[in-house]
Amino acid sequence: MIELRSVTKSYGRVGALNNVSLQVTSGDFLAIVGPSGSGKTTFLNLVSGLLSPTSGETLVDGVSLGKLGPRERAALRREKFGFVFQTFNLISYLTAIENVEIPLYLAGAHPAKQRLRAGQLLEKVGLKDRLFHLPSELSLGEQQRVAIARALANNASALLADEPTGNLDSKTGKDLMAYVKELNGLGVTVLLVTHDPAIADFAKRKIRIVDGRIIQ
Amino acid sequence: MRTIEFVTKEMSRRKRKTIAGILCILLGISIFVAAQTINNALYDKAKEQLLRFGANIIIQPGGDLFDKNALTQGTALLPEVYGKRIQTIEHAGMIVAVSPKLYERFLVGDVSLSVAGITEDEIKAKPWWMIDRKIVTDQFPQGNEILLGHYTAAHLGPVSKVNLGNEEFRVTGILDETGSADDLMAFVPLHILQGLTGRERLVNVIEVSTSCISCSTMNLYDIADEIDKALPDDARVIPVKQIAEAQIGTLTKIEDFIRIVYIVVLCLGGFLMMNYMSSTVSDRRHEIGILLAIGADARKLYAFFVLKALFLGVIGGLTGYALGTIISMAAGPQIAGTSVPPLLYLLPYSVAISTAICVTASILPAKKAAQLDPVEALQEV
Repeated sequence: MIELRSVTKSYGRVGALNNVSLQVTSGDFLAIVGPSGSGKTTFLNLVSGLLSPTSGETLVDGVSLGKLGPRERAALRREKFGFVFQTFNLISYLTAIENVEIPLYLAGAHPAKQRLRAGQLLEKVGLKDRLFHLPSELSLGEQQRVAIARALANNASALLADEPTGNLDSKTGKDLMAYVKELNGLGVTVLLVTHDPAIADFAKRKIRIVDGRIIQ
Repeated sequence: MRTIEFVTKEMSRRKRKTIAGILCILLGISIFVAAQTINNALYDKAKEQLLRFGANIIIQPGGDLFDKNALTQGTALLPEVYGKRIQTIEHAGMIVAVSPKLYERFLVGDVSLSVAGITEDEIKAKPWWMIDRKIVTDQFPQGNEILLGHYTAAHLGPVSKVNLGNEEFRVTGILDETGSADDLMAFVPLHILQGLTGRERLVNVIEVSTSCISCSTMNLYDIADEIDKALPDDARVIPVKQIAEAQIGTLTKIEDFIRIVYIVVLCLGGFLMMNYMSSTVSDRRHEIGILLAIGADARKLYAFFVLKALFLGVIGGLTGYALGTIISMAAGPQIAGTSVPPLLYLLPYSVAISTAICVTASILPAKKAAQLDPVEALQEV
């Protein structure tokens, strides 16, 4: 379970998130919507421990992230979260299968096990024929599917998706969301940041952030 | 995937960047190897040339130092066997030649001829002795044979035989001009002259040539001390200081200059490598952000950069050695005036120095990478 208790995040005098409290239970599918600059991405970064709150507390499965050191927070991101970004953020010089192997490698899995698992995941997202292609040789939709396979590599319990369809055409975006919904059906918690209402409709529930506050 | 694969894939798939990194260190290492290789050749050449100064330790009969007649007229004598004793000292390996000599004057027609009795070691001590520009070998006098100095031969005119006392000697050759007193002398086998003058197993002087080029002045004196201890008190051992100091002074200056050149170049290589690694970190900020976001910790990032530096160091060391050797072999003959053989022992040094420089230069940039803010880095595209 993910919990934010009166979390405020500000950069100097600029407030990005203001006194936010929220609980996300396991298996939830939460869409965070709002205009650009409203604090949606900051919200995700606080949940993952990439950012520390200015005040308040973020808890993951009952553990306060503020009490963890950098190495422990890195381990938590490795083990519990999978990230999907708007710009995919694949490593350009690694093939699709190597990109999916990275989280497994960071978690210390045996190379043979990494290869097997990465191959299975890419097969699941429909990229069986693209295993050894570099990102530049894949379409945008394929690149995002590689990113999803990478996010799932370590059996993440939560998928943190920041505008995952932002660079995809409407049909590819909807196909991708259908797959994300399928994953949620399998028990993966999904936190989805989007400004697109049609994409947000895939979620079980929605919150709207405006000027750093949850307004609904 | 393993860390090593992660690094090698990055290097092999970003060839231009990798080549740029290798070039940073290759420059320094190749200059280091070329300088050392050429220095070595210069050193060998200097050693050969400096030997031409002649003997650097002289053993004379003891007694009154100011008794000029005894020395110049050849009346002061030493047992020839002292020459063999010299060969038994601890550092005998540094001795190139031990040349015992006996002098006598003979009247040949109206010419008063200075004759020296010598052994074959004289050729080792005087590698510049030539006959018709070729090293003296078969012409070395054996039995009743005589070798004439350049001006002696000119003075005697064209002769094939020379009479010394009642003995007839066949002329085996005429030495090319040496520019030394040897031009005014004639040479016969030592034992023949000893028999002819009734001074069996006696000599006037023993000249010792050492190869003490790489050692300090003290070492030459150490060898002289060892010889002094090996001989009885009736022998006086004189190290020729000027020659030793000239030898050491010249070589030290060459070595110091070359050392300064390659230390500067290696420092420059380290500076270039640090800049290269820093620019690599800047170029890869976004990628570092991704890795940090998906769970890489600082240790992992250190490992990536240090391992990359290690690879660049090894490749830079190997290629730098190869390039430096090629440069030295191509340019060496112009600079040193002699052929420059490759020095295989420099290969491990090149790799070790290159690797040490690259790894040291990568530590700060790796630290910078590990301390990157992933959120900021991810925002950069």
